[in-house]
Amino acid sequence: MQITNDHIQAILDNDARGIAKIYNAYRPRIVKYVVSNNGSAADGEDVFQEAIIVIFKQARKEDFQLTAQFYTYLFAICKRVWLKKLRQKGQYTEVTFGEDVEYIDESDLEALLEEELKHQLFRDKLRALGQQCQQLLRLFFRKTSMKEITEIMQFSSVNYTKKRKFKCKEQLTKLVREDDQFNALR
Amino acid sequence: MKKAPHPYERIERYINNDLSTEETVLLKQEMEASSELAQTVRLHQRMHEALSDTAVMELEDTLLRLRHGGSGQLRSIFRSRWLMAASVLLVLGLGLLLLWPSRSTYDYAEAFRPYPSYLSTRSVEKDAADLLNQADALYGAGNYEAALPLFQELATATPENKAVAFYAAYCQLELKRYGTARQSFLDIIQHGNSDYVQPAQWYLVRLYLETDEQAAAQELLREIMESKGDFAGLAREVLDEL
Repeated sequence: MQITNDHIQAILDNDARGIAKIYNAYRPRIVKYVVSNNGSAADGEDVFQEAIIVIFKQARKEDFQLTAQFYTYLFAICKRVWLKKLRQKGQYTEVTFGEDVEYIDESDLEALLEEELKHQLFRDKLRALGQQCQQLLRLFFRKTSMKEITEIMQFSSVNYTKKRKFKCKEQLTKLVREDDQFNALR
Repeated sequence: MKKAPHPYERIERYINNDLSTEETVLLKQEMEASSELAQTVRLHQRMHEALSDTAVMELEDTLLRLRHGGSGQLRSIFRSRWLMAASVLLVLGLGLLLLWPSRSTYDYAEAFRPYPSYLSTRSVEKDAADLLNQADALYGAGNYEAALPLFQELATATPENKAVAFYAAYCQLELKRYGTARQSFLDIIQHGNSDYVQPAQWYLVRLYLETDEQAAAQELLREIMESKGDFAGLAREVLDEL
């Protein structure tokens, strides 16, 4: 299954060209299915993106083994992500997908999906911050020292950087708390 | 009198296991007594878990670039298809286009999109802050013609500030003033010791491509790739396309 390994490897390596191939080959089908199951095209895009991240998190585990074709695996995860989102919105209906899907064991996915949806909310809100806060927090979470961040951001002092960091964190937590999804995910 | 630490500082230290045993016990007691504090600590724990996973953040960056570059890619593909159709007609009519070059669907505009503004008024003297804010706003609005003289004024006043020098050079590139843009990027690269060396190298590649200096572009792309810096991944993509 050379092509399957290539896809997983591209995701693990964050290889933009390899991921573009997956994106072009499978995204339209995923979007189509989500749209035909009470979703919008934007929902479909979100589902595809989150599924790729879930695959990345699964594939980087040492004991990861792919027991199905790549698309089967991707499709099963997309279906689960979409079901979860529908439940969150309180719009659960029986979702039917018009394509035969080989059975794969999805039981261990549940916890990962739950975690991913929570993490997604924080990442989305980080991206909603201003450019400067985003850069500062990204550096901070990369474990860059306060001194280095001060130099990179050209701030006047380490104390000022710390103050800015807390301000940015405050903005971020406010955005997270204000989101409807926050209560659903608690 | 010593200033009280920010409440988040204690939470951060708790998450990083940097509190002493006594401090940890005290915080846990406070969390038991206050559900609001307990909730805030949980929120911060989740935030740290989610955002410390830099590999996921970077993967998501790639996915978002693909997603938002979609329309650009489609336009590019459409252009290619139109050109292919035109080629067929011309081949039929003239038999001259057997070697019509295949158009790549690679989105160069996305790879070399305008560099985001990371400017801070802290990097300049107080009296220059307004000028910097003005330049920054014009730059953000894509008004490079108006932003350039402001960046140049700032660069002259603070020759060591490579941030403003870089944004001036970028404006020159957008305005296709290749001679001055080239010299400005080279100055930043040669000066070294700033966060703008890598962006200067990257946009110098764009300049080489726009001025048909393929060999110079390829050489610099290889250098960027080998440096394993912020633009290494993009450099590999562009090099593959050339």
